[in-house]
Amino acid sequence: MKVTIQKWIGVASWKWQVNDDNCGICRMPFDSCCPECKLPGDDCTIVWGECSHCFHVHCILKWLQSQNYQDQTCPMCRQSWKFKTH
Amino acid sequence: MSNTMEKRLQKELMKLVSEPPAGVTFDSESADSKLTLWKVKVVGAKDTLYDGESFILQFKFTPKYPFESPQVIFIGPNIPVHPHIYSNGHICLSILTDDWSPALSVQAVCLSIVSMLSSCKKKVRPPDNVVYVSTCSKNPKKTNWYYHDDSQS
Amino acid sequence: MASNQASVKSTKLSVKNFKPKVRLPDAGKEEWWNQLREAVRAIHNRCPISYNREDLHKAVGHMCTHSLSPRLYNELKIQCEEYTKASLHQLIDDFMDEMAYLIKLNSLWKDHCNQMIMIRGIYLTLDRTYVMQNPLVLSLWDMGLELFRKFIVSEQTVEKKTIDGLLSLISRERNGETINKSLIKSLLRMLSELQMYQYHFENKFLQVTESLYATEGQNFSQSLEIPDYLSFVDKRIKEESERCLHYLEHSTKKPLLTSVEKQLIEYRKEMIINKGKTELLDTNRLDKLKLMYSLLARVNGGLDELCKRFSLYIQERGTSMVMDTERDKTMVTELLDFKSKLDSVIELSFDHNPKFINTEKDSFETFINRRTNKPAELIAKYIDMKLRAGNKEATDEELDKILDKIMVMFRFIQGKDVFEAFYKKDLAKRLLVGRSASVDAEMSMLLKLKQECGAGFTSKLEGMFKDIEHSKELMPHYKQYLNNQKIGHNLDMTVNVLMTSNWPTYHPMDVILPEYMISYQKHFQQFYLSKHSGRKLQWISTLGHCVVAANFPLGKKDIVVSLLQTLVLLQFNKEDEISFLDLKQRTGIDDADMRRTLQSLACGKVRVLHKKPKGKEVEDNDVFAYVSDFKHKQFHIKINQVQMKETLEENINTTERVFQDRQYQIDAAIVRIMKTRKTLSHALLVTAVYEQLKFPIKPSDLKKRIESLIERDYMERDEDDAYQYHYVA
Repeated sequence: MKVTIQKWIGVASWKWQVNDDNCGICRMPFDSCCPECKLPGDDCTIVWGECSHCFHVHCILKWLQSQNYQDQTCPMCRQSWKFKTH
Repeated sequence: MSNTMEKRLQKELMKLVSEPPAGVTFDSESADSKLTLWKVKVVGAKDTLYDGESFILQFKFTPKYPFESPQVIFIGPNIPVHPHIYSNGHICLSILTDDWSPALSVQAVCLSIVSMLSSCKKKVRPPDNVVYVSTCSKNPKKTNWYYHDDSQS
Repeated sequence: MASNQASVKSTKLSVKNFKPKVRLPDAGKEEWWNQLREAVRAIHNRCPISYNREDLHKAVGHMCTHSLSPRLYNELKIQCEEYTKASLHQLIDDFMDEMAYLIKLNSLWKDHCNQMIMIRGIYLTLDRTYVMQNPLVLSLWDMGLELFRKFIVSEQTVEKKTIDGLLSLISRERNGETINKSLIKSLLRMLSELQMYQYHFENKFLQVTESLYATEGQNFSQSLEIPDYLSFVDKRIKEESERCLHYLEHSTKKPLLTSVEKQLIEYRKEMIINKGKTELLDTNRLDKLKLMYSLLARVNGGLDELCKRFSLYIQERGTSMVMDTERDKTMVTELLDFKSKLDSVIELSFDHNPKFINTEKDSFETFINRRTNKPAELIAKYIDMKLRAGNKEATDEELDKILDKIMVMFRFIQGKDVFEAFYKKDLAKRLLVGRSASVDAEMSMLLKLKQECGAGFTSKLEGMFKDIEHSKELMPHYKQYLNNQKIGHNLDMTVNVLMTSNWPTYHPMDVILPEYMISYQKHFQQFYLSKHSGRKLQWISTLGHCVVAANFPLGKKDIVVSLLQTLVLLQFNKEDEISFLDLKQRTGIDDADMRRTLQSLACGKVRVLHKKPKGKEVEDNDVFAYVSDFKHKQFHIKINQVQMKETLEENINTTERVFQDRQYQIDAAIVRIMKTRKTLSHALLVTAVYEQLKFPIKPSDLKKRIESLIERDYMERDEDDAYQYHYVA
């Protein structure tokens, strides 16, 4: 007998690669979304700063908007905030 | 009221009630139903100038919390005599205004204040107490604070 | 007729006589007296009157204007009295039977009425002047009645014979005989005219009725089957109502029917309901149930009793459906049938009574929760069965109706978390392995759950659909990405990427994949992470499946298999026979999954492997070989059903996770309560916990959690009172 695979329907699951379970701003788990959203995942994603701290994107944006443009800092370490680009 | 504020304050409240840090006690009944006004009891740490004394801190939250700092003052008959605390209960502490961060919390603020009390070497009012108290706004966040370095006071 | 007479009597006209008084010649006067006396006698004797009526009438008029009215009235009264007295002898005849007697009396009465009408015609002026002016004087008609009552009917023997005769006639009719209804009606009218109906007849009649039905109630409720008894009662009530219509006075209807209802229904209601309800409900006799309902509605507390028994019936039958583990397979279907049967009973037989609707609801809730967790699990599985592809329910509307019905059951369930866990597990399989019968039906079900339990309950389920949607959108990009990579193999790979927290927990299993599969996985991983930074990806090998081309000596086949089945089959590319243990080692599939996988390939409907030795269970020493003479009439073959089936392990895991979650919730609730209250008695703590939790807990389990928290120093017992707890800060 010779068996060859023609089609493969694989299943994978993903998790955020984070050190902390909860967002430092809203305190909700990263596995669920920020308090203003309903569905976690792609609709309420997570972003990292160059300082390697991460937050719900909606949370960090709100914090950055409430600060002066010049001195936007990371809520965790107070280093000036820059989005980490991969 | 925003979801973020509501959910976060609920979480903080649960945590403060279930795992209160040393020297801080909080009776959840003292918070109003919308959770916008809290009263927290702090006790002076052992072997400090405030040993055995207890004080009441009042927290007021706006819908912008935690993106905006809470308004925090001492209330009640016993206002700690401290070089950074005015006799009307206002506190000169940078994390309450300029250095606020949403990563801070009620618990973090309480602990900062306890440690501020603990590090005090002499029980005196701030030098400008009389002038400040007679001219300042009710809301300490409206004051333009000039933050002293602790080592100088 | 008596009634006509009565109406004449009531229309007295007060017309004053304006004629000037005329002196009457004495001789003429005497003659008038004689003529009038003569005329009345003629009427009594049923002879023609020999005088002109007009003259007689005039004579009366003249006499009345010459203040002779009292004498005229008295003379007439005496004449009638004598006649009436004399008539009595016609009834004193011992040889007359009951019937003849009544007929005789009736004819006397009829004659009396006719005669009085004629007499009154002559004496009309007397009635209109003298009687009108003297309130104490009876009208001529009433005077006649008075005489008839006094000298005929009130005569002791006459009265007794009359009443007995009437009662016996009615009793004969009750026994089914046809009787002369108009005779009885006429005589009862007579009694009524004579003011004798109520006192002399009705009271006795009601007594007789009551004792008759007391006996019948006693006897027939024992001797008849309940459906027959109900029909009998119904018939009796109808008959008595008709009796009222035909000859009894209106006033008799209410006491009569009350008496019948009391004796036949009210005093027998427990028996009727006890004996009747189970049998009638079991056999679904809607007409008889309706009759039972309408009869019981007639009496005090009848429906309350029925409602109580209805509830007990539902609970009794329902409990046996739910508690019997042998019937688990059919439980949900049975419950649905049971519910719709009861619904139609309420609708068609119980008059849509809201009280019964509520009782049905409460009773279902009570019995369904007598068995914890299992009903919730089975309801979830029932829905899965309906939503799976290949389900027989034809249209979406039909399916939606079924789902609506099942939602009613779902509402009764207290442990909704158990339902959610099983529903989620099955939904995952529908989305990943099999197919769903209809996307619309899935969405409609989701909406129903959302409406019932809120968005919090369904947000993760919605997330699962979102994940599948996102994965679909991602695939074209992935294909493009693959085109730019140089990969030797030509494998069509699709990936469903799930957000871990939305889905059931799956045990990771590190299976050994062929090199090229690993490289495909790596490529996908690279592609995915380049699109979504900050994520970790884990492969779930137990959920994957493949389409493989298998070259059997007798022909080529396309087979749909699970990934694990694929890995096993691939081993036979190099060797024809491999032992169980070797297969396990070469594929990395864990023991239980390996046995299941081999069973599906070698012991199922479609067998591509031989098991040596033969048998249903896979043993450690078994050896497997591919079926060299494999034949199947189709080219495409599916053997991946193994993934759709629920394993015992899966079932236990799902349930256990719910329980574990519940324990956390119980602990958290206890701690929360103790923290705010500091000191609390056991009873108060338990009440507070029950208030906070949404799922059922046994008191003994709650006690265990409290013990455990005391052990872990979250709280302590009072030194003096073991049922008092203190919070430990």
